[in-house]
Amino acid sequence: MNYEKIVKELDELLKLKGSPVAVKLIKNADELPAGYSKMPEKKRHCEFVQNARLKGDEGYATSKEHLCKGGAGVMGIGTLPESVANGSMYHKLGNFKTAEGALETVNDIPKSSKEHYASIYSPLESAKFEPDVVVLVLTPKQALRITQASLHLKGGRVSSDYSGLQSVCADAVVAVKERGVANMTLGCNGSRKNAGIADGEVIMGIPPENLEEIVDALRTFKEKWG
Amino acid sequence: MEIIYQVMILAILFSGLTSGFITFRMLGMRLAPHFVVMILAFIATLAGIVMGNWVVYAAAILQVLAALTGFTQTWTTLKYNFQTSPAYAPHLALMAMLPVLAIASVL
Amino acid sequence: MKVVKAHGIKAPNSAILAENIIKNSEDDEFILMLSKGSDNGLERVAKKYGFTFEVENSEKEVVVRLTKAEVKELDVTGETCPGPIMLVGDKLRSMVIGERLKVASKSSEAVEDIAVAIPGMGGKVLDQGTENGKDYVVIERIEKKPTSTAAVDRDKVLVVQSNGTGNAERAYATFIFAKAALSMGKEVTIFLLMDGVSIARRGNAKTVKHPSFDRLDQVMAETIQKGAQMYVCELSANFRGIKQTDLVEGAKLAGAATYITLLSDPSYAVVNF
Repeated sequence: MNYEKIVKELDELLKLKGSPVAVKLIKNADELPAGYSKMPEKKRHCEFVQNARLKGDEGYATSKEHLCKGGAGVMGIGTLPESVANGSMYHKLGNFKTAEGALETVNDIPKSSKEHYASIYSPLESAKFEPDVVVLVLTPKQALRITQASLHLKGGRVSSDYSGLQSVCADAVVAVKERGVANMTLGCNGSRKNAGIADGEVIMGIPPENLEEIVDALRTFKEKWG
Repeated sequence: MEIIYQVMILAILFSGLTSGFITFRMLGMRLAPHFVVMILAFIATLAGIVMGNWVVYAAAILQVLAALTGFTQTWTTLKYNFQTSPAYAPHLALMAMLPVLAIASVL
Repeated sequence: MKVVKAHGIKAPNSAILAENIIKNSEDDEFILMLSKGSDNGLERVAKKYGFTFEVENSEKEVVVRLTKAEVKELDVTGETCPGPIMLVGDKLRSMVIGERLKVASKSSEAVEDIAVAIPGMGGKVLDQGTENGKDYVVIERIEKKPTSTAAVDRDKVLVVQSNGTGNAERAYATFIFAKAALSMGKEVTIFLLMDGVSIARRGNAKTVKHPSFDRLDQVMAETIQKGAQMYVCELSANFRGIKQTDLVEGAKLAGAATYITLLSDPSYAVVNF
């Protein structure tokens, strides 16, 4: 797939802020694509995504480079910290009134069915690997257009699920990779605060194979709706 | 008629009584007919050595029968048992000598 | 086959998600693990896309299986023991949890052998029968549960006989011990191998007799009648030209997998004759 061309068109049609982000999870060091080096600084997954989107950063992050172990853990990179896995952290933070509510929520957070060695990030237009998921940070109107575009060919409805926790990692990457279906999420406290997802933005994870279809539909919308 | 053959047969039968008894205990009652024939052959052979003449012929018939029954009575075991065969092989090997010597003794 | 865990998504969204998963995938078999009650509406989705719909409820979740594909088939006809179980074992290792396989063979013993062994190999038997002159067993790959090391009641006895009619005492002991165990309320399985298979060949056991006991064939028939399961090693039978049709009633040819499965079952006490 010619991602450079796709991104160019997406940008023309939607006027995106920054780039769509290619994210790939790899099982071992042998799968590392050539030309990517380890992220120089420890950061959170949502920060790596934002930096790829807005600064054009690229590279890979193993468990050591992931500052947010919860985000890394749901992606199968390292183990999920106990306090995240049992919900106690979110209970203490005040997200939930009861420990049971916290536990039920964390149990249902999408988690990778496989263990991974690292996550790789790149702006989509310059990605030298086949991504598992393309992460887009969008305004609600851009998200509306993407949603309409994704239904353009086959119709139906869209179901997005999120819990306001582990958004850019679990909702936008893991859920999409595991299901093969796009998912929209509203971010979480961490990604809003640390990665700087703006108040007027939402996050969407899209299977890369859907992109061509989406771009075709967006082109049609542009012709018909201006 | 060489009496020496009868003496050799007597030795084989005497030895066969020992190996036969051991085999008999392992295989069970199905060896009884063979054992009876073998005892009769042993007595007839002894009598043949002492008396000579027609008794030697009667003894030779019993000797062949002893060998024959040795095989008929162990046939099903021989056919399907390979692992336990060493236990009764010595007795059958002794019995297999009898027909040859029995024929030689009456020629 | 695609396996998706989507806990926490309530109906009707679970059905919307399921539909989108189907639309976005070229797979013809899906396993969706959902929260209890979230399977509402999925049957309609299955019907719409021509999938068969199966639901399995457990304490914690509901597993929905949507299948379009014919179950993959593995024909092991002509393979002699332990060929069939080795082929199935290799195949099973490459299968994902939930994937199914239909194993067929003209040899009912080979199929039975597989059915006996599968539970210990990370599979479960879903169906067994005969079709187009072949026996078959449908198996599903399941998560292999680690066995607990806790003590188990050894309420079963496996009597292994390898000496056959060439050793009358051991032959008698096989069935006399088995009868004793049966009368003690134990479950008894007799496995005849090596020379042992000679006992099960029709007509052989009646040549074994000891003055103190009934004829061996009668003792054997009584033991089987009392409920002992008697297997005859297929390999040893082949060595001796013995076929299933040559065996006494109640004796069944079985492969190495059956033997190993019996030996591996900690609830069996093993006696060798």
